[in-house]
Amino acid sequence: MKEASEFRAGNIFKVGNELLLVLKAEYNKGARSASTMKLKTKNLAVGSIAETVYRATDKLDEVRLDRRKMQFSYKNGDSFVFMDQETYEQLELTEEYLGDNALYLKEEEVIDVLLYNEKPISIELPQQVELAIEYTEPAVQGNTGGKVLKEAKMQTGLITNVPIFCHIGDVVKIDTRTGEYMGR
Amino acid sequence: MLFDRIDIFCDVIDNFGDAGVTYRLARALKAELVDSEIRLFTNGLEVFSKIDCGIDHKVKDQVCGGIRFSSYDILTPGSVEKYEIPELVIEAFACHIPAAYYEKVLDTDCLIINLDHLSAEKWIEGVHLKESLTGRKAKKNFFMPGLTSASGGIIPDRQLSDGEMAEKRKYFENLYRLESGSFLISVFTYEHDFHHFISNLNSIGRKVSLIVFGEKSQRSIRKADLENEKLTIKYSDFLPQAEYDGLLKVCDLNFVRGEDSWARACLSKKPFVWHAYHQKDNYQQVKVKAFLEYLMEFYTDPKLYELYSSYMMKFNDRSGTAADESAGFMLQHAQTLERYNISLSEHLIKNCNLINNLLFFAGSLKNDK
Repeated sequence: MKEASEFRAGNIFKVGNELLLVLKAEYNKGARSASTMKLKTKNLAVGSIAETVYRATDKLDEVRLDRRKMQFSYKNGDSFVFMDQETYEQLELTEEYLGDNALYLKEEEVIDVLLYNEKPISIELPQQVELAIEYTEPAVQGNTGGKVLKEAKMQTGLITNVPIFCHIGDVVKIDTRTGEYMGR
Repeated sequence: MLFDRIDIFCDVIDNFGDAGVTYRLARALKAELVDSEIRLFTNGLEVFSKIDCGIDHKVKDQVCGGIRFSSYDILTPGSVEKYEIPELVIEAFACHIPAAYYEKVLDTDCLIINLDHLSAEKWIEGVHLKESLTGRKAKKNFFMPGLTSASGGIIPDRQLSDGEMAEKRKYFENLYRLESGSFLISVFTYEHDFHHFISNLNSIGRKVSLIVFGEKSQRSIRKADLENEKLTIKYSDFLPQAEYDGLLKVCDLNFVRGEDSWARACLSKKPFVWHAYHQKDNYQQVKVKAFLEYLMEFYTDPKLYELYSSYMMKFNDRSGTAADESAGFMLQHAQTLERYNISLSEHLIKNCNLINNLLFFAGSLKNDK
């Protein structure tokens, strides 16, 4: 069992007989101990998508999955193609299954693909990834404190805030749990 | 009948807030569903006895004002086995319903409402009414009190006529032996350094009366007590909830804290300063800021709004680096602030009735069964 606050996109938990894949996890700090976790999930049996809410401290039954190290090769329409580097076997996952994880995936990155009954259903990202800034407003020189932020679009389509001194093309570290800038 | 019986659960952790809200909720539900049995289970009957002096904290199961108040202690596995679970159970503020009862609830066709804390933050609208899967027979949904029509709203209270207001004001002036016509301020906050505030009041040159409630505010005000011929300070015992609600409506300015008195202040039509519950890393400032952003719609003079919001942010800063700003503007502009708060109160009464929202939602789920 794992606390709801620890769940991230890509995790799977079991409620009754249903297996639910987390597509998006949103933590909201409440007053005192009453923080909440909103989870957008996909029911792996019927494919329905729903948003449910839990107390941050609720215990959910996490389902452990098989994993294989694979390289993200390329995107084909809304499918993401991964390749096993030893066997060269290719597996596909659609955006629908990846949820917000798709926003952190860049080509040639090696990550864990998660399998349930030998079928790929999600991926597990490292806690941080390095992404290049595809677009942001011009940098402001001199302000190196990092406290003043501006919006930036990453190479993967993720939109987040970065310090005002960042340029297009800069490679920055992003926290995959929160989508926040961590450093250069 | 919509619901024959409703059980409400409340853990008392510290202070009076959670008890205050659930007591009010029980009363409001009873007023709406006169023939229903409303039962409130708690681990803190002593706190409830301070809110309603008709409650005897030594009696573990009692009826007061038509509501049944029971201690968690009576929910033994043996008694729960025989107990018939109602169709609606309200667990307030992530409380811990005794295990024997909760296990039984999960196996019944019951609706559990997780009633959360009041907040002005936008995210609550995205969580409000969402289901929390139990994996068992019972259904559970989150209910988020708030200040917009997309949230759960707040528990309404009875508005007073002008005549009732004048009568109430006179009543409190007599009760506390206050000079008629002084600027009347109620204070019910957490610990706070009031030195600057008190010396501020003294410099204004207007007759001011303070009525101070609760150990924390009384201790804080005593440290800064500079009473003189212009400033009268009265340290009061707690008032029963209904009386305190009336006081907020007739004071010229209220300092309120936590959740229940904050909600009452929003409905009081009077200017007020909210002292939010202290959270780690000064996080209460996020909550206060969200409330101030919400108020922008009602506080139409940008300069006055700026003064007010800056005062409130500093008042809530527990980092130890910020001193209060001058409170003089609240006395100078009391009438304008009151006008803004009349709009706020009218908006809330019209659009944000928690009891209606709760019963409509719970009733519609019941009908869907």
